[in-house]
Parts: sequence; structure tokens; C-alpha cells
Amino acid sequence: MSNPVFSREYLQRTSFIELSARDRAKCLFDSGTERELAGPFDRIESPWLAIQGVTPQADDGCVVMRGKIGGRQAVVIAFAGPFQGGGIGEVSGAKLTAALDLACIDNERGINTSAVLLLETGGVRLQEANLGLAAVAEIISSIIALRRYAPVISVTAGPVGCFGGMSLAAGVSSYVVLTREARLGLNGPEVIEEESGVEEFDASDRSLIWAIVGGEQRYHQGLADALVDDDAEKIAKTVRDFVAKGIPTVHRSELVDLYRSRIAALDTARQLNPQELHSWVNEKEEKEL
Amino acid sequence: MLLEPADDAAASVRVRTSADGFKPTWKAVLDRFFSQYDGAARIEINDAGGTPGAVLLRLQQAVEASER
Repeated sequence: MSNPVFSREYLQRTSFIELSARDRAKCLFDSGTERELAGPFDRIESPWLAIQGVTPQADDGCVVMRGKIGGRQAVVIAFAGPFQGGGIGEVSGAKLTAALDLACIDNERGINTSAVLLLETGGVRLQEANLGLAAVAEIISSIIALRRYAPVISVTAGPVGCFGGMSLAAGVSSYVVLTREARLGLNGPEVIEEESGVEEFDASDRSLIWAIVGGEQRYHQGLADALVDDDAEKIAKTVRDFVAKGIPTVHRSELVDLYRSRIAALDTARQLNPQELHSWVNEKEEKEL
Repeated sequence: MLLEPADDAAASVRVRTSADGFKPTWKAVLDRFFSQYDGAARIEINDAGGTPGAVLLRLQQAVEASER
């Protein structure tokens, strides 16, 4: 057995994962510049949960903050994983869409405003199914409208991860930031096991799950732009750097042919080997872009 | 949990919970809280199955935040 290593830096860091959605959002801003919009005391909550026996939350699990990041205007929208698995409902979806659209209007008026999405979400909230799906469609079009002017940065740190319709929102973002603890995928492991059987994907096999949909794998596959330690300061710095960098020359989601060809080249007749997936990215292809 | 100043010199609490049948427990938790706190506050609790200990802790944290 190897000797344990205690890193002072690691032990003294502020874990981003352990922060609440509100504190996660707050730690990204230049200190003191942030203010919350449509906060809990405005009581903009879901009208659908109580009638189904679920207690609503005063902010519907969605925190919107406006302020400056690295001296530049930005809006941060954070989803609270502990509330309904961070699920998107009518109200939380409308809060996110409205924040993106207001940022878009600011950009049109010449005020450069970036957006940061802190996605800890299983996707659409089942209790608000169709309204949640409609919200995801709106969110995606609002991201695509905004990213022409300013970067939209998605951050998933864990422990929930980013799944379902909101993985598509991450997919159309300008930049994706993940930690090793994060997971990013369309269907969650339980859903795949339920639909295709345990031979296809064993949802109780945590090392398999993280090896396939975990942050490290997604980064090596080229589906994320940064892999950062679970450290609030490091994540804030990464976000600041992407805000300063501005919009990328090409957005990942525009490379439809590239990703189609990669998917076509996968042998789905057998269980994928996590190591092989790393080589999904053909370095020659990347250079040609 | 939301804690705001009350309009009159009394405290009021609204509890919304997804767990039925815990009225005596809620009363005990709130009685204990108000034995230590006499602020004129309007309190709203949205409970998703918190333990009595966790509820009391959240109440104390809200008071601490309001006094900061």
C-alpha cells in the first residue's frame, strides 16, 4: 500500500463542490461587485410542485447574479443540485433564459456581458416534464444567440453532474469547465441501465461511470476545455481567463461533421474501453481545424 | 428558509413540508428555537424532509446571518 500524501495546498483549499449554488456563484465575481437578481425574497417559485406533494423553494433552485468578473460585466446562473437534483422546471428555466436574454440585449447595446452557467442538474424536472423540455429548448436558443457576442461558460463540478437536456446546454456553450468529480452526459447511468440492461452499463459501478462520463474522460475526449481541481479559487481563475479570452473562433457544436465521423468510427458492438476513448480525438484532425 | 423583519411585535412561522404527521415534532423544534430567540420575525420554512436537528441549525444560522 502506498503511503498517504497530505498536500497542504489541497487540505487548505476551499472546495467548490461543497459550496451552495449561491456561494458558488458569488465566489466567481470580483469581490463586492455581485448582486442577486430574482432572489429568494422575491419568491418566484414553481407553481407545480406543491400540488404534487413536493415542497417548492423560494428561488426554485436557481440563483442568478450579476456583477463583474475580471473587470468585465457578467451574469452567473447557478443550479442547486440538492433541490430536485438541480432539475429544470418552468420557473428555473425562465430565470436562466431571461438572464441570458438580458445579457444578449446588453451586448447589442455595446455592453459586453458574458454568461457563466453552473450546471449541477439531472436535466428536466420530471414533475414539470413538458414545461421543462420547452425551457431547455429556450435555454439552448438563448445560449446560441448570446455566444455570438460574448462567451457562455459552463462549469460542472459535481457531485450531481450535468445530464439530460442540460448536457445539450453545456454542449452549445463556448467553453466547458469540469472537475475530476464532474460527470457530463446525455443519459444518466441509471437511465442507460434501465433502458439497455446492466450488461450495457452497470449504474452501480462507480469507477466505470466516471471512466466513461467523468470530467477527466470528457476533457481528454476534447469535450471540455479545462479540467480543474475542486478548488474555488482555481475554478474562479479559469472562468476569469475564459471571460477575458472572449468568444472562440469556432464553437464546438458547429463541428457537426467532425463529431459525426468520430461517432461513426466507434465500435458499439462491445463495451468501450475508457483508455481507447481518449484516442477518440485524432490529433491530426484537431490540427487541421 | 427565509427570515424577515415582522410588521408587528410578534413572530410568525409558516412551515411547508413534504412529510406528513410531524406536527408535534415541528412544535417542539419551534418551541425550543423561540426559547432562545425573541426577534419579531416572519419565518418561512420550505422543508424537504430535514431532521429536527437540521431545522434548528438552519434557524440558528438564519438568525446569525440576520445579526451580522
